[in-house]
Amino acid sequence: MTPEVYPVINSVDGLIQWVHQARESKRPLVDYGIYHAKVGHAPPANHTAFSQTGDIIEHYENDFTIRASAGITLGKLNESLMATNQFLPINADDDLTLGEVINHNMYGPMRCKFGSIRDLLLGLHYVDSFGHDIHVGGRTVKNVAGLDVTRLLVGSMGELGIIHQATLRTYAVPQEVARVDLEIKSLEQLPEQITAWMISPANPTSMHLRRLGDAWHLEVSYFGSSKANDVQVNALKDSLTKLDQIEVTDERRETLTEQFKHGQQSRAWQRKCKTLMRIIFPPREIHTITQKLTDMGITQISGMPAHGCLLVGGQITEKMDNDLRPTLIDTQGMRLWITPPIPSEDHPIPVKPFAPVQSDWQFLQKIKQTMDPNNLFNPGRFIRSKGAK
Amino acid sequence: MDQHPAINELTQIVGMKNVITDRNELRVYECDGFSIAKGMPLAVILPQNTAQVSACMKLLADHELSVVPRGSGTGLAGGSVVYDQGVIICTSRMNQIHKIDLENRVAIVQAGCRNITLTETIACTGLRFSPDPSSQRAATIGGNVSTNAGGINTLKHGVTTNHILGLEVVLADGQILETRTNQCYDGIGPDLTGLLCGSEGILGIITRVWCRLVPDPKSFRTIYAVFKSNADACKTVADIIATGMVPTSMEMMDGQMIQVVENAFHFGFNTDADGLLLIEVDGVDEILDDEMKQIIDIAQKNNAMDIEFCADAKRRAELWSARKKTFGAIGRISRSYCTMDACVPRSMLPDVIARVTEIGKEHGLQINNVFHAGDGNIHPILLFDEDQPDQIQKVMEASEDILKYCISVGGTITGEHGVGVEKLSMMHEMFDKSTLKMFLDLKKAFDPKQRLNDAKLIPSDKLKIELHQTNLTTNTPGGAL
Repeated sequence: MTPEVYPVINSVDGLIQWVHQARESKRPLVDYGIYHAKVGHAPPANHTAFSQTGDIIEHYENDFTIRASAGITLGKLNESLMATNQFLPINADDDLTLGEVINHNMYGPMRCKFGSIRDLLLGLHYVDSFGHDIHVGGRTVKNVAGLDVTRLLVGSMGELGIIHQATLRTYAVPQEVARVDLEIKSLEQLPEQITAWMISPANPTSMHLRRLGDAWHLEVSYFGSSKANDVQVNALKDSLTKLDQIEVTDERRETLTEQFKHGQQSRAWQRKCKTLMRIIFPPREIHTITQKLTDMGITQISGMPAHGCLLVGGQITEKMDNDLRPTLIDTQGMRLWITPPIPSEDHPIPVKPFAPVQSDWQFLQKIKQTMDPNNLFNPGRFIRSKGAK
Repeated sequence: MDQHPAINELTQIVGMKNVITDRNELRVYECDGFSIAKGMPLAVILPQNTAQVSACMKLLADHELSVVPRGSGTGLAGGSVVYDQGVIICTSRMNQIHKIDLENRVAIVQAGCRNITLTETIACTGLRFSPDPSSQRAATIGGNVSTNAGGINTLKHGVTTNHILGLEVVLADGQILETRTNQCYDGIGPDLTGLLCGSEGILGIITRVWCRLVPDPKSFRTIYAVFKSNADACKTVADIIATGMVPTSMEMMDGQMIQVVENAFHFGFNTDADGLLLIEVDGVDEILDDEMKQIIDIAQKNNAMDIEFCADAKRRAELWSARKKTFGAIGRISRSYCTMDACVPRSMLPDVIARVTEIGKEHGLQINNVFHAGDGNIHPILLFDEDQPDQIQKVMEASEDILKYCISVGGTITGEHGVGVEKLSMMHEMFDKSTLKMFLDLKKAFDPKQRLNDAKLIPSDKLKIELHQTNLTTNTPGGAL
């Protein structure tokens, strides 16, 4: 058997060489990332795992735009940006690479104001399965030249090409962050309330829902000047006077760095979980979904209620997964395992990584065959190639 | 002339009143907003629902006829022009709003629903559909998606692709494809919705759109500032961006444009000025004055001659009316004009606008500028007389020079109008062969026989654009490009 090799690739030429080698040897290249290492179907037994190094290539400081290689960690990227009073508004851990963030369309509570990585991305460089260095998009904030392959690759789990460089929008570090912690007795009215906040001066920059003990807590944050934050926090509090379901439990002002640290701490539980699942659903279904989860005894839950996304952890079994499925189908939701349960004697077959099947997945197989006909990149991880079992 | 056998069958699918074959009526569909490119379609079909579109596409596939999708025909790059006697499928009668869901903040509309219809329908909800191209009153949402339309407030609120959650699309073989149509804000796997946005109808015919609705700002401050030199105005834009502030919009007119608009509409603009900025901030009312003051300070540091600001809805409407009437004003001074579209990094604006002026002088052309300065999205307007072939040639040469310069400073050949047929020849400047081949491979994955709006967006041998040719040739749209 061929011995496993784990190259760390630090140049485009190096990457191209590895792609050519993969084609000749019919040995696929696999990059599953750190946080997402267990997402999707397992790689084929015979493969080359690799990683990329990364750095900032160019920071167009006055344009609030940055070009960086895909192997750069978010920690390093933001540290460098912060030195110029800028930041990349993605809630993700410092050790994740930019490439991983793009491959998995990562976002977090700051999506309320800044969108997901899909919205921040201006251009990509990737190596295709023929060994060509492809450049799509660019560094301008508007660009409609050619097909938008930049966005096609967002969430592609590394199956369509190896991203090695990205150009992104950045934002100015706010003067301060105002954080208000709310305890919510029931999530039934939350979607309606979120819309009401969004169309009022209380429109949040960030919203993070967490289940702590038996209670739901919503962290609402505002980024701005202290005067602006005063206005928005007061508007939020005013809105609560009419609601008996929601009350303020804590309020603080902090720097963006402190907010980032707090975010890392809030996410720490996810890496400790034996199983972890992401559930995506239309935002108004949050009550139905969370009700089902808590009924099943799942209590480690956090997420972005404004955008219908929850992370659910703990000891989630295959049975629970099956029990959840009808609710997901009823609500038009879907789920993916980030850390699936290990097959046991009771359930020897691995769980399906993604469910229920979505309408465009079959067509995506065509896209995979077009862009990676030789199945060189993370084959079968999400898109099952023809003939794959 | 004998009618093509497909016409009768198409009539059976959509009904007689939804098929146009009369040559005089077809003239309306000969071109879009890029009127230089013209081509007569065999017929125009106006379906009313997705099933009809699908049935028509299957039939047209059987007859091996090419198809060009079209909304209201407000495109500015010739993207909906037929060049080989193909059939236009026009979605303008698919204009229903299927659902407005305030809790999910989503509207589901048929592709032919006009942008303004949705905007007006949801006006009282506190939410809005953010894309607001200048053609908003006429343009369909399907058209907005196909071209990934921009507009005035994209600086803060993003372009169309940032506001689309899912799409229903009919492919060339009649298959109906749904991408993320479950009202979720996210999906699993590669983002087909993102790929379809801005694909200019070469991959499929968009039939339904899941639109994200966002808060409709209630408070504004509008700032009007004029400058002795347009370089100072450009510098003001670059300096505002460099602070990290994100205004809703920053629009600019150069000196010639100020004079043209003032002569036409008498808004009271200072005609000694060589640069005018119209800047708007929106958000929480109590803090807008601070933001406005910051902007005014920057404008003053850059030698603004005159600054006016307002929070008053009436004056705001007047100022924006001036901006929106610029193209009408151009029509008063020139029989023909070519509006270009390119996008550059904002910090490069002073250099770019100076170079555009130089290029105009080099080619002996008057070039006026009115553009989305905050996005770096320039729209040089080249004035010419279409009866003078040498002027057309100069316009095309100047356009090419401008685009090449924009590429050289890190810009792109189109920020919001698209490639269509207009910029096919520039695609080789922008992309290498491998990237263009990858675009074509993707096209073939959707449309293997390449019958759907073929030869647009991706350069090929099928559509030869003779830049300086004024006579029509059989396979050239308009010829006079």
